[in-house]
Amino acid sequence: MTNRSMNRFCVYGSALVAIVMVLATNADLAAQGRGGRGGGAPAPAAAPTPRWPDGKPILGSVPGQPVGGWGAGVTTLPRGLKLEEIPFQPWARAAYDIRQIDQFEPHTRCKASGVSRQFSTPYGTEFVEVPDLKRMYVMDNGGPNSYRIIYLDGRSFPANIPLTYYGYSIGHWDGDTLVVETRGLNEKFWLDTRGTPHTAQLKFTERFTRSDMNTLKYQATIDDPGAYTKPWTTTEFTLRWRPGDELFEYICQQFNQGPEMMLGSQEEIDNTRFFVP
Amino acid sequence: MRTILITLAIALATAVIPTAQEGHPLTGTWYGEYEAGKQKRDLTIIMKWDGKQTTGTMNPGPNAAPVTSAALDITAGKPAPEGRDSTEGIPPTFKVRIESGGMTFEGTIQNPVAGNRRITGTWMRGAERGTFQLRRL
Repeated sequence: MTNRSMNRFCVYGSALVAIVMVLATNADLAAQGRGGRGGGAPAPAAAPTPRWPDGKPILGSVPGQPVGGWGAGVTTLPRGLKLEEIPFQPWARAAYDIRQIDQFEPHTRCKASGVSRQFSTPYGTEFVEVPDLKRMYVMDNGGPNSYRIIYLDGRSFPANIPLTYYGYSIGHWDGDTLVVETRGLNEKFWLDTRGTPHTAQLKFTERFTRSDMNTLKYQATIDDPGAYTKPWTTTEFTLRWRPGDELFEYICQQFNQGPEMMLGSQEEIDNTRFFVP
Repeated sequence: MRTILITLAIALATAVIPTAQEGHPLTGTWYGEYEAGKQKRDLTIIMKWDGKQTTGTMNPGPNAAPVTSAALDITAGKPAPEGRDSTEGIPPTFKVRIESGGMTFEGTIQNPVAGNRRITGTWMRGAERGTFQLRRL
């Protein structure tokens, strides 16, 4: 090989290496974008369900390990069911139908949105468990910077619960499944991104089962005589663990002028866009 | 005195606003007016859906009257054709009939599942009749 051809080899080789490195970096950035935001590294192979010293499953981050959160997993509560199978009252079915046309959800106007809607935000949801206080906080990033408390101290529901966006949640363990009942929910938000309706009479029961480190099974029962003729239960949803996800400052801007830019799929975010919803 | 009473009635009515925004289409406090001859008169109706029936009060205050009947007549809409934008669907329509204080109100709810919903229509009492409009506070 002549010096000239050697130089060419070095130049082309270096260029090739540089291109490969740039592509690899871009692919990594793109992967982070798809993951929702920085820190969304691919989940490792599933480890067993993490547990507290008393044997109860840990639903959030594991002490001594990097914090993380759950990706969006609940799309629409009727998913997997025929609408005819859902015992809508006539007005509720009509309301649901209208919301398939007018999709301007309260969440897009910075309204806190409780229970199942906390698991639809593309920025993820974090459980903060405080065993000593026998309570858990559920924080959905991308909402209006608030949180839901799940009481685990064996209390009963108080009389005359004030109606709020997150309601009053009490949980208990059924084996490895955390069963949470929430009452006192107001009517100012949607239960999911598709507008499954409810009234203030709603009793919402959730079942959380962390089947391994990376998987959280979620199922809900809707008992709302104001909107349905009988209670009904969703199919099972799966939330995936996103190690490295941390809560970050999120400013929900009311009077948003670009509601059409809100995510449709709730699954992916293109962080390369000039505007990131 | 009448002005004070009306003001108090409206204040009382607005005090219950937070109970509903997106729930049952009739639930909430409705405020507006109805035409009686050449006059326009204030009209306030507070309604609540309990899962089986709607109850409520018209013009809370010294002249309050219970809502004796409130019913929805819903006509189903039509979803957008497969593959088309959902906004191309035809929404359901909500017609309402309210009876209170010897008056019957029949109208249509606009934006029935939104916070800014309205009812417009006609009212009747014996041979009297006219138009009315209400908006959800």
